[in-house]
Amino acid sequence: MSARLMLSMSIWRLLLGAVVAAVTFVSSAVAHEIRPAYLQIDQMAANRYKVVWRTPILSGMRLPIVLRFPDSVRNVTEPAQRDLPDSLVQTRVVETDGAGLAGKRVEFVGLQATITDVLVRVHLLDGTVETTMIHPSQPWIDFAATRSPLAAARVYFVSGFQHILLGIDHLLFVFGLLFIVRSRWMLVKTITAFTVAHSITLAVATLGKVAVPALPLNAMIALSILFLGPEIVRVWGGQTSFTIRHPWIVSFAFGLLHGFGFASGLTALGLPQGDIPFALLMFNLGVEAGQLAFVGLILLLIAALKSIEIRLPRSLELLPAYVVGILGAYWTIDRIAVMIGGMA
Amino acid sequence: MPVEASAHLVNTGLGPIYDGVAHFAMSPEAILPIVALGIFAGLRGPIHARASVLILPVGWVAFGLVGMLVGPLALNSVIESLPLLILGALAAADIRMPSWGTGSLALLLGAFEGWSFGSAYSASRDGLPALAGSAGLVFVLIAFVSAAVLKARWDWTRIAMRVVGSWTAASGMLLLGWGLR
Repeated sequence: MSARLMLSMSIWRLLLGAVVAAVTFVSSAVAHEIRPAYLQIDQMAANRYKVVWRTPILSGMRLPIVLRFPDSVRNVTEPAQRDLPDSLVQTRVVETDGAGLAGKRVEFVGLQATITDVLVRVHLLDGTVETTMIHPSQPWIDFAATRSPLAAARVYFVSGFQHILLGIDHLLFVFGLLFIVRSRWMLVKTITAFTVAHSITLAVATLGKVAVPALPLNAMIALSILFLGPEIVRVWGGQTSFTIRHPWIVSFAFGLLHGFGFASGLTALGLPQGDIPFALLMFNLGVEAGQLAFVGLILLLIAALKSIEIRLPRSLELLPAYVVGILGAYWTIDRIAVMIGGMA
Repeated sequence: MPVEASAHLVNTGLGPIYDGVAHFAMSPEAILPIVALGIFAGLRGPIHARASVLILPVGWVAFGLVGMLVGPLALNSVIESLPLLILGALAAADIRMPSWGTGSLALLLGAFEGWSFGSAYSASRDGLPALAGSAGLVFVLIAFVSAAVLKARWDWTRIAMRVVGSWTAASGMLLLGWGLR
């Protein structure tokens, strides 16, 4: 079938280049010659935060910047101070009233008289990490009163999208499936089955109904990729098998495993209990969007190569199967070794 | 989310490939000439498109490897503006050329940009997978652009493509002017 032929023609290059996850964060360099001060706030509980405040020392003198929290913030532990060769570090735990730090202002008194900056990094329980640079022209930081539902939805959606696009193991499985399906209708069924399956396990794992240990799970996910290699060779050789006749069933079965893998990505965000259903929905939508973008990209590329009338020699048509199989085998062995090492 | 997302890549060992993809995706000075070449090849027909799609990534990888070994060349911005200027002008003018000419242009572009890309990784151990990742994206980009132009059936779409070529050439002229300043 021509679609399958076109898939075979392009896959060895696609493997290396079709996934454009294209988000890399590059931190900006500090322009001043003086090192910035640094404030780190890690949320420990709803109203409790660990605060690390570092001020640089220049020529033996500490920069005269004073960290000032609003009156509603009180120390739970007294500041513990450490003198480092280049800076002074204070660590303490603070507690706030009911709303936490939301809507409050933290000031850096004396910053305006310097030419240095303050790097502020806030890590909240819901997984949000915000990094801000405070300049002498505006020596304070205002914490947003509340995160809008739209902003929260965006965080979970983008996280799901990135999770699948940066998860080459999940993508490689979907990629392998594309070689096995032999019609558009079967492609729709197979991708839908994968989606339904991983949605089920993503939900039950995130809601805490089922827990699967990570190490065996990772090995099984790798095994699912390895499983597809020989099946692609069978398709190429004109043979048939249960997987080739009913790829959607195999896709559903292995999709259950991959869903547990997605759940690890979602729970790593540190979900507040009240947000779980909403976060689950948005994360899953992000995963689906990423998956569809990947499949769409491949189908578009196939169409593009068809327009250009590129044909690979038959000897190269099996390369994709070997790439899928070899990577699957490598990860399987690697993850089993990690698992055995973890048990030892 | 970067921490969580990178866990996959740490597990799979494919992180540097993504680095190469991201590096290329954020390099407009490398993307624009490829777009111009794709437009030119697409306007000329499927044989030209095929030549550029097959030759450009090969040239990119081959000279990227050389760049990794030799390191960066001391080129001024006048020379760096030439791919934009030449390929943009060719696309804008829709000049007739034999297919081997288009293939040679693809090889030259792959050599120039691939060397530049590879040399950025001359001191890195992750250069090879990054180069492979970028070459994959180069392949996808040139295939998409040239196929889209080939599919353009109406005169106005061909004119629009040539306009894009003229803008690319204009960017090259700006860069050239900057370099000659």
